[in-house]
Amino acid sequence: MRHIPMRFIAAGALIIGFLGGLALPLPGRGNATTGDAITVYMQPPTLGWGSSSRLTCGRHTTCLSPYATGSALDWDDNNTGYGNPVYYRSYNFTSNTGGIIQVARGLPLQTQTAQDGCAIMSVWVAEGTSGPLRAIPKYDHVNVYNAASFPIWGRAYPQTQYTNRRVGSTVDDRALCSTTGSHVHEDYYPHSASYTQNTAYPTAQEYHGTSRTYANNNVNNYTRRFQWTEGR
Amino acid sequence: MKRIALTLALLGVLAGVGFGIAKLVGEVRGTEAQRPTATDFGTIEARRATETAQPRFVGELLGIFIGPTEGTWPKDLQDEASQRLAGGCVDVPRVEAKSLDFPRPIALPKEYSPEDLVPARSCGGQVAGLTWGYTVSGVEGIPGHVQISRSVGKARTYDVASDRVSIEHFGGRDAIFIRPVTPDGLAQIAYVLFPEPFGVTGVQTFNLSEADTTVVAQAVAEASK
Repeated sequence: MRHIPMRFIAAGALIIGFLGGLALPLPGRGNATTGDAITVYMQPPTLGWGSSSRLTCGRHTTCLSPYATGSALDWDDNNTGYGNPVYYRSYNFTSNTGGIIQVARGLPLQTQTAQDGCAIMSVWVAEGTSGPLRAIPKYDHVNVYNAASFPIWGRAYPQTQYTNRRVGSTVDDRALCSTTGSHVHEDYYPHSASYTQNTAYPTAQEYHGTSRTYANNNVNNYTRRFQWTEGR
Repeated sequence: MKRIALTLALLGVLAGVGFGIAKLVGEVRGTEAQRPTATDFGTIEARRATETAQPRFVGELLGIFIGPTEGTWPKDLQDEASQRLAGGCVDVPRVEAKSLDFPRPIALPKEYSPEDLVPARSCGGQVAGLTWGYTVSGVEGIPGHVQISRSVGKARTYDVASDRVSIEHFGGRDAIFIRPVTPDGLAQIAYVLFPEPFGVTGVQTFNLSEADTTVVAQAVAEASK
């Protein structure tokens, strides 16, 4: 065996040691930090999947004259009674081309009961299988119907992957809330995801009627869009 | 053979040193600190399931009846609520509900942002209630919410475990306190109800700790005196 000087062995060990150390994962990192770009396009929440949901008020805060512009949209559920289904609906995209993957998970929560104002439910949308909260879609005049958490699957464009899950029921909250008839006031609470709303919808000043329809399974009819980078 | 063993041992030591330095560099760069906190849905759901399995509160405290549905209320309270709604409910200017307004302003800490005031509600031609809303950064930096009402009627439909309900003193007033399921308050609603001659002053908090709900309750008690 050829004699290798000890200083070469030491230098080699030093380099290998550093490389090994850099290659090892840091402890406590938790959820995978893939850097994938995730985009969630929210869809109209009323009526069955594939129906034309009825917009009754354009972008507003409260749909009352003089119709102050806000981010919410009012969706009629085509029914005169209460207790009608409300859905968490979204098309979900990832920059990861590896097929269908879980990009997020949703948790329905009652955030306010009708006893002191409007009945409000929201869905906490958190990253991947165990990551942080990213987006909070919000539904007024609604009580939670199914409180269980659910996976939100996505895939890379131009393939599409959607989530259509019943999460709530419309409720009669007119005693202490400014509302008329069963409908959903669909909005969001700002949180960490970047937010964009679809400018194709009219403002409440422009439209507060009863018959403008939007197919609830057409990604172009998204009401609002949440985007984030996984692990950042 | 001895030299090979020595070399392997040296490699092991240096690899460990390398790992340690790499970890240190990562921490100095703030890699971990910049990552948002993971939201644990499993814990939230488990707490909710435990609470739901407990016996529900049905009964009267401080003259206010609480039950999980209207069907659990005494008949006279059910009839009163039905009649109010049967008369139809409309918005009215807040000034028309002045009799329900707080005698003093609600003095919440500055981090609570008031929402735009909404009109009062009137049902069957009688003023039914006034409300106030606030937003705040709640548990884990996730939005929290406070809703306050002054309304007629002395019954509430709250589906809550009996062990969450007690009578407490806030700002020198007796009130029914329905605690959050756990003191941290993550993703939970808590309630405070003050009896009033006209009905109830109600407070709901969402995603606030029990301690923060207490701060809100004290401010509301002071405003109502």
